[in-house]
Amino acid sequence: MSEERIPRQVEEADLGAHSMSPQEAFVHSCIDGVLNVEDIADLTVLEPALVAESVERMISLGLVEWVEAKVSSAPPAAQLVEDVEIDEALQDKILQTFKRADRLNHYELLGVTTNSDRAEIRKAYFALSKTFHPDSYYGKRLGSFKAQMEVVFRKMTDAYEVIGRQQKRDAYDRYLKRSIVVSAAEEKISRVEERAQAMSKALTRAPVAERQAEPVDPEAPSRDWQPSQAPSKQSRSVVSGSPDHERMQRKRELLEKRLRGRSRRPPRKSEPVRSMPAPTAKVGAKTALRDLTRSLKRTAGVTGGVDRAEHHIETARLAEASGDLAAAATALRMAITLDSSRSDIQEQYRRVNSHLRVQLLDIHREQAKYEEDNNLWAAASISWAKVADADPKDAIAPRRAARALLSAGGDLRKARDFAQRSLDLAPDSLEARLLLARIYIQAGMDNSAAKELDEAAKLDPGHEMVKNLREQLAG
Amino acid sequence: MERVIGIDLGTFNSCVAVVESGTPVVIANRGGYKVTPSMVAVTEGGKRLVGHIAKRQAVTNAENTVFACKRLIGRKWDTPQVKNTIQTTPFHIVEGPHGDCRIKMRDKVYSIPEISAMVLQEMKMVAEDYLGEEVQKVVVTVPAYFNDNQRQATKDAGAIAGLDVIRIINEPTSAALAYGFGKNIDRTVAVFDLGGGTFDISILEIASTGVFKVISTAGDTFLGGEDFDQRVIDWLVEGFQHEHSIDLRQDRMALQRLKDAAEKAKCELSAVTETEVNLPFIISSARNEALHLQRLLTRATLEELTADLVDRTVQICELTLGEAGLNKDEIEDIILVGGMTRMPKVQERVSKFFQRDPCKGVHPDEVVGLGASIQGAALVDDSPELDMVLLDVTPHTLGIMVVGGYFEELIPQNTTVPTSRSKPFTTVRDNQTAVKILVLQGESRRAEENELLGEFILTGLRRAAAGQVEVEVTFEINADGIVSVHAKDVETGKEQSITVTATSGLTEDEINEMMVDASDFAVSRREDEASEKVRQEAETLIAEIERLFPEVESIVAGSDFGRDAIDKAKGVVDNARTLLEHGDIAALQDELESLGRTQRMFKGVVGKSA
Repeated sequence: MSEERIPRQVEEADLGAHSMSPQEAFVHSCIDGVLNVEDIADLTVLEPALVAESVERMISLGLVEWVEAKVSSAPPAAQLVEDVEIDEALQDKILQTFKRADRLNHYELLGVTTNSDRAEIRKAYFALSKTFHPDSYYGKRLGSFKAQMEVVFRKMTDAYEVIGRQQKRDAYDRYLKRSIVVSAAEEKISRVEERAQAMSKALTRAPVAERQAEPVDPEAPSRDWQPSQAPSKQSRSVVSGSPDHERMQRKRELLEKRLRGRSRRPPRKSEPVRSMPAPTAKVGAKTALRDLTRSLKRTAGVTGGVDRAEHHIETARLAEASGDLAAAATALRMAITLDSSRSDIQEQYRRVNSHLRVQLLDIHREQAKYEEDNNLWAAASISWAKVADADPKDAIAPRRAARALLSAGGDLRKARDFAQRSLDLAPDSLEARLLLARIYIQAGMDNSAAKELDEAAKLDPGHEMVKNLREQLAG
Repeated sequence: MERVIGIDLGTFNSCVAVVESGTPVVIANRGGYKVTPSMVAVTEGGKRLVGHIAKRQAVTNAENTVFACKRLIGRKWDTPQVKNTIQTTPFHIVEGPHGDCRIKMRDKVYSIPEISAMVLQEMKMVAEDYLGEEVQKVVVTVPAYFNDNQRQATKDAGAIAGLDVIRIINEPTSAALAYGFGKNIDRTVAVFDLGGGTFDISILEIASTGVFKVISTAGDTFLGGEDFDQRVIDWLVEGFQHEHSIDLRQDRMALQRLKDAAEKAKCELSAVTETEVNLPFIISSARNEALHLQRLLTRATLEELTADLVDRTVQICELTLGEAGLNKDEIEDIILVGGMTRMPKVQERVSKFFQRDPCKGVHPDEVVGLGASIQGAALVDDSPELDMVLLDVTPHTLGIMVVGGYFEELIPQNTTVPTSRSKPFTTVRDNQTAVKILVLQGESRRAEENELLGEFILTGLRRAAAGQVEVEVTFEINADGIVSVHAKDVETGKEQSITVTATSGLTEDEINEMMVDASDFAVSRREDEASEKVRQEAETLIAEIERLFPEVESIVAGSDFGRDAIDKAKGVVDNARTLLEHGDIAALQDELESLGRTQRMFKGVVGKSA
């Protein structure tokens, strides 16, 4: 993503001096330093290849240049050759730390771990202080590095003041922990659909096909399914985070074993498995699934095993009781997959899921608050972005995300997207419009800023701020 | 490499030191003394005297002998502290043209930095005599609790003396530097500095790698040995008045003799338990007969007379520890600095408070000067034994004045420098096109009770309704302790900044005046961010309540209690809505709690029924 190239107009280029095709001129007019070739293709309704071709030609004419997507926080390369009295290794260190400081948590910034004790943290901070405090280079020409060192030093001091003091460290640790809980929950949520689908597929296809293809293995492996085995243990082996393929494999194995387990039992004449219809091309997948579910239930009843869906519901109940809504939602979703006939599970799933969303939103807001209070703008922008994603109708969250990005000196392109989204939700918001304009100004994209200001002027023709910003652009 | 000397510019005594081949040494003056009195006098013949020679003639030339001018440096004429000093000094303090204090000797008026410069010049000469070369660069120490005006005035004094003050450092920090230098220790230490005029306490972390980090510092610039002397003087004067009905304070020469005697007695009582104050022919009676002052002072009496002063130092210690977030038992070493720490009672109280005996082997009069010379050498010298860095803090809160005459903090006290902090502010009147930024320093909630460091006006703001124009104010303190402030119109990017170098500043009257007619220029703390949070929280809660409303209604409507609760909830939501529409954020903030309660109640009802 950060490697993405974006065309930008060369400011001092003289358009009149070159002959351009109408298509090139059209493309040129759409180049704003934020849109990539694909976007421009969408915009111009031209083939991306044609757009790329036009861009390349204009680059050869010196009218357009490639820039990297992340243009905001990187200091100009010229600083690298600044005439200063510190060696290059140190210059590099300062520059790198300066650039990364916002993205690191307090522990990472000081190069310690969350388990480090106070003495270790203190030692690390003191060592870094000697490197980054400008006094260590008193009387030397430091150029722009001095300001960077001061910023880095301040951030390290801030970090030290937090994790070097037990009380503040506790609050910060809670904050970090919440972050981990949230990302674990999000991971679960993001994977459960995929798993559910894989499960459906496996259920409809696997048993029949494999039962026919593979003979029963007389020597049961140690992890052979036993009806007496604790359900939780079994469940864990099913839902463990293995790659898709392996999971599918295991699913098939399990189902196979289940059937085999049944077949090993003393034979009963009215074996339910007989009634299981072999799905054919004529039978729909849904019907097949329902039938399969039914037969699996019956299988469980006969073998003294556990109803898989019921088992998941139980897991969900326990998880919800312990406050782990993500685990509860995951289990319920799997239960639905295993037994699509029960509307009560679906209702329960909807309820838990909506609680979970609310809970995650609350946590993200809480996180964002801590981050804003502690000037962790980069982190705040991520939290707000999550709130914005979870609640697509919220016009405030994307704006806050955009603002945080602007304050963090983060990706202006993302900031633009958020501001735009806030604006789409509240088109008459002068605030969002001006935020967008400010982002464009920050990115040095005066044309786009001017466009936004034009729009702002339409909202409020006599607005002084718009005038002032326009004047600023003109000057 | 140029030599840097360190000068401890004390209230009563000064001391100069230098690092020679890696070892800091105190330089003795021509008289062989390691400390030089911070005294300046002008003789009848117009000759200027500095140091011991000035001190020796003080009794006979009390009106033209200045001492303890450190108490006046960087201070305004009409402050209570100055008023107090005027009453107890035999020399003439007059008002200067900028509301500052000046001193009149013979027919000439001197500024305070000029007087201090004479002392600095003397110390410079002492160093130059010893080193046999010219000295330019100096590190000067000041009490930790000095504000920026006092620091700046001290720097000015250096410039007047022809010195380049490369750094001003705090006295207790300097002492810790001297204490920890070359010791290879990792410890948390407290420096208890009770000097002639000021009291400071600092808590530091010392790392064996040569890092000295100040955690917290506090003090009182008007609490020192002189106050102890004053108690003894008062006791002597009152006793004399009781006996002879004569007020010795009215006689400048008698007062000067009393001062010397009181100080001498106080010092003696650190070693012995009683001493006699003997001042023959102190004054003549109305009948023109010579009267003598003769009194026995015991250590117990002295301790009784000064008990509250010692109490106060302990109180400040307690405060500082709290500020640092440390327990007493986390302090691993206590360093005593300043002549007053020789008093047994002071040592006893400090030991009792910290439950630990103070370190021995630190010379309380010399340690500060030594530290200054170490810091000077550490800055300019790259050799590994001087590879150390001092992480000091800003001793006072920095901020600006906001509408209503309040003080809004930007950089809190005890923040490690270099640092910078920003805060957004807004205009307070419709179509206000300028804001005045008053840069203040201090701990009071009221702006006028804090020290004014400087001011500037940001003009050309866009015309808009009150609160619509956003001005971002950034304070920055660099490693050299220089404060710079800039204000920026967030929308237009228009910027204005100053480097704060206030020496004279304004008088309290001028500030008060400014506050009265400052409404044209006033700023208020921008509520946007905070109020947006409130607004958003309220919106979220309202939405949630309304989403649950039908369900809750269907569940509880059957009971009176339920209907009651529903009505109440409706009322809460309607009220919040109105407040939202009117943008009454303060009231909305109060309403958040009942909104939250309603939402939780609704959630509970729905959750139970499900």
